[in-house]
Amino acid sequence: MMMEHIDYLLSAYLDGELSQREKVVVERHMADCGECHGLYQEFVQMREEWQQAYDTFSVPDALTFRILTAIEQKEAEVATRTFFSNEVLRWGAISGILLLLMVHVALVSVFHFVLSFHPLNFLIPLSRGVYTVVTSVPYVSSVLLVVSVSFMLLSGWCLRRLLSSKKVEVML
Amino acid sequence: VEHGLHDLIVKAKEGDKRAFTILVERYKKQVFYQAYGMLNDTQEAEDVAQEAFIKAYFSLKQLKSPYAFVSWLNRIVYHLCQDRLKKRKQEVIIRWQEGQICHVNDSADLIEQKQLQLDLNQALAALTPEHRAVLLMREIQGLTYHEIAEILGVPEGTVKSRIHKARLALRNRWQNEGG
Repeated sequence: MMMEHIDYLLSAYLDGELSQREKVVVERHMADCGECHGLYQEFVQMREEWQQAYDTFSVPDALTFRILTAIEQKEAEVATRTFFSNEVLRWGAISGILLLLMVHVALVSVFHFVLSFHPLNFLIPLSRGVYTVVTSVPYVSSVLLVVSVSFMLLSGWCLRRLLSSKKVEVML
Repeated sequence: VEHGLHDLIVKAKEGDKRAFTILVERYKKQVFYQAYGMLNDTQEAEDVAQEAFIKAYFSLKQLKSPYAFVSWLNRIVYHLCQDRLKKRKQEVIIRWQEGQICHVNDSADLIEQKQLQLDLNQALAALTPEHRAVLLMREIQGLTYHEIAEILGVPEGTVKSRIHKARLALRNRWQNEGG
């Protein structure tokens, strides 16, 4: 009777990737078949040689240093890019404009006679109106103050988070 | 994954650079050898190892389970090597189109034959990139067929037969090299 070789299972047997039933089949076959057993022995020997080749293989001494230096450089690049990112610049510009407007309105309401030039004249009655409303209704001024301070603190926190984030997108 | 290693990976994930440095020290040889086995060029292998660890450092937070670290790192190295091999192939085609070389050989034959340390490495260099990749993942990285299948995006059965064919090819080549 002609023997059916199971050489296609030998690699998986060597790697421990066979089921218990398949393992038994391979072991029984190898006990009778010198050809398959010889091939298996060659695979085993190759694995040993490979392990030896790997053990004697040397890694460049400076590799770790090179890797860590490159990471630090990349981090510095990312931090600079984040600091000058469009988002930060946009929010910085918006915050700056809002701050200037607030300062301006405050100045107009207190020293309206100083800023009497034409384009901003409408701000004088507006600020007076706001001032009248705020002072006539009880608690509005205190509530407004608390809300404004909270809003400013929140904005500051958001800006700080934005500046400290170092997100890097890596495509794998 | 042993306990200490698991902790190291978790720490590195949280941004601990010292833990990451220990991981580099621990895996640099495997990564470098895998890249060398694929590219057969020490300079390129060094570049790939560097690139792989940089990618790993900046995307470590995306790693879902610390237990999958080795397989995940292998995936990075594998893709970087594949990119370089593709680039090499394109360069060869361009050179061929420009008439600088007369014929295009099998990609394995185009690899520079330098700094070879052992016959086994020579024999490995003569295999196809697919065969080299699976053998390196199995013999050096110790990955399971399931993990290799996930990295390559192929069924486990394909990995099983590919590894066997690769071993047979390596054995034939190695015998010719006098191993």
